[in-house]
Amino acid sequence: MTQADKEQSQGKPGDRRLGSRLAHRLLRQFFLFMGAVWLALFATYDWLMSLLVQLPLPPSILVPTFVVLILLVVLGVQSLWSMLRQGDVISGASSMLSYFSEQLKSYVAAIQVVETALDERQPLYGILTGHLQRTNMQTEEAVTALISKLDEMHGEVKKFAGTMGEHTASTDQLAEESNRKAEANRQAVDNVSSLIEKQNRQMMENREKVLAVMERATALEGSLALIQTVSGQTNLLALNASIEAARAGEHGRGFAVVADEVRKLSQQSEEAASRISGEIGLMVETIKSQFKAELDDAGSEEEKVVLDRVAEQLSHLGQGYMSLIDQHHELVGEMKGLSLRFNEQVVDALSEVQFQDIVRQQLEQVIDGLERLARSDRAVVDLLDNPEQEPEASLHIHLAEYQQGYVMQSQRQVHNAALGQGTEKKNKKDQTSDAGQQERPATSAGTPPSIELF
Amino acid sequence: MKKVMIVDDSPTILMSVSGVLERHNLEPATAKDAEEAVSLLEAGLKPDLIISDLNMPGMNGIEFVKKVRGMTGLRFTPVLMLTTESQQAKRDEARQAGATGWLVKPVQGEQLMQVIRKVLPGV
Repeated sequence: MTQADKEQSQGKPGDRRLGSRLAHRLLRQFFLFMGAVWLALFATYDWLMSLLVQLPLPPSILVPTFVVLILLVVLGVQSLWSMLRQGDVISGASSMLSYFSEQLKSYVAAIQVVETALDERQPLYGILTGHLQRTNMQTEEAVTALISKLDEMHGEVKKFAGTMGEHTASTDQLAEESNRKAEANRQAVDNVSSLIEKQNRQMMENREKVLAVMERATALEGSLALIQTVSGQTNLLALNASIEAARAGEHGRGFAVVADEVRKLSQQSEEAASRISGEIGLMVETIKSQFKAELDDAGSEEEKVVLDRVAEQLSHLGQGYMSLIDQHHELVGEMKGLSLRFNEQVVDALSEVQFQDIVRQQLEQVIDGLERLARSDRAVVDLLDNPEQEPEASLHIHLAEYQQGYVMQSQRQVHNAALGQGTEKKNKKDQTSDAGQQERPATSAGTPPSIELF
Repeated sequence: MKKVMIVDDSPTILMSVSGVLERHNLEPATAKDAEEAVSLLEAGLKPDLIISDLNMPGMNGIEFVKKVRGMTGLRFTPVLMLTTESQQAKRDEARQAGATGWLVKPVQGEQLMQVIRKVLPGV
């Protein structure tokens, strides 16, 4: 058997047309055999039948015996020729069958390897399912938390809108009251204005009067000075007259008496002038003080009424402004509080979106698992194509190697849970705390705290 | 205003942490990987604090910390690791590399600020 024949008969490893080649070979062999039989039948019929007739055989089995002999001879010759040429009794078909059998054995071995690999990958399906369920749960929790934050923010806005509405109503009411009081305020201001005008007028009139009295008094002062001068002169004259009377002696005695009386009169005139001057001064002071009292008395009653009214209006006005200021302060306080609460809620909402990074890493691990499965599938196909070759390393899923890609405690927990390692109760507890992610102390189980300063 | 550098390959984390910092009057500077962060630092950026991820494509967080500790003026700058990894072995590695602290994602905004206040007094 040549190498070409071997290749042709056996085909290349994994040749899918091996069966058809075998059938073709067998069919060709069959037709050659039949042709040889027919040829031998026609060629040896007369000679062989003449020999068979001589044998003690019944005539009815002569022809079948002849045919069987021919068949056996042709088969023997063909087998001998095939053995000599190809080392095979049926022209290479038997070696093909042998090879086919070997191939089947390789396939069976490969299928056993594949079966093992498929068994090995079964846990990975569970792990991937666990990761996806975990991712789904985490996404749902994060989105729920975000919605909750948005609801809280909406509640705050709604509450603030209500507060604003209340403030608007109060402000409107205050404005209405202010409008209503505005007329009264204007009236009060007019009254004050009239009062001031009236008082000014009265003051001007009184001033004129006082000035006139003062002028008269001043004029009287001048007249009194004249009287005092005349009195002084008279006194001097009386003194001279007394001297002249003394000089005249007895004749002047009577004149001296007159002169003395004139001097006394002069002194009395001076005293009278002084007294009148004092009285005038007193009178001026009295007028001044009376004018002042009169002025005070005249305005006080009316002024009091007007000013009381003005004070009342101002008090109302002040109260209005105070309540407006209070409302303003309250509103500012509300806004400040809302701003702080909003800030906190936005910060919380921003923190919640970190779940995306966690979900991304979980999905990356799932993708890694799916890629391993895809590589394993390719290795299965290659192995079935070439069952005699060594299977590729990627055929087998090594969970320990896959686990090395984990970056989160929750991934390890899901992995262990899928493999039935560790208690489910513990995993559930840890998953919950992982999702909530509160700062937690190191546990006795050795779980490190989520926040640690070195 | 104190400056904080955030290094993470997740745009969501960069936005999230930046948002929290801005609302507490801190100035964030972001880098999408350790290489970009190193470039920024070499270009003269002087952050008061660095917050870095651990698992990043290219240079990882621990290598980044080692690199930072070797740079002039950054030897004592606090570096916080913000990561999904919670293994003690990785923490020990980060501590030895010169990291200041370890935070496992997700971290609430107020928790992050409490840690920042501890390493950056006066914030």
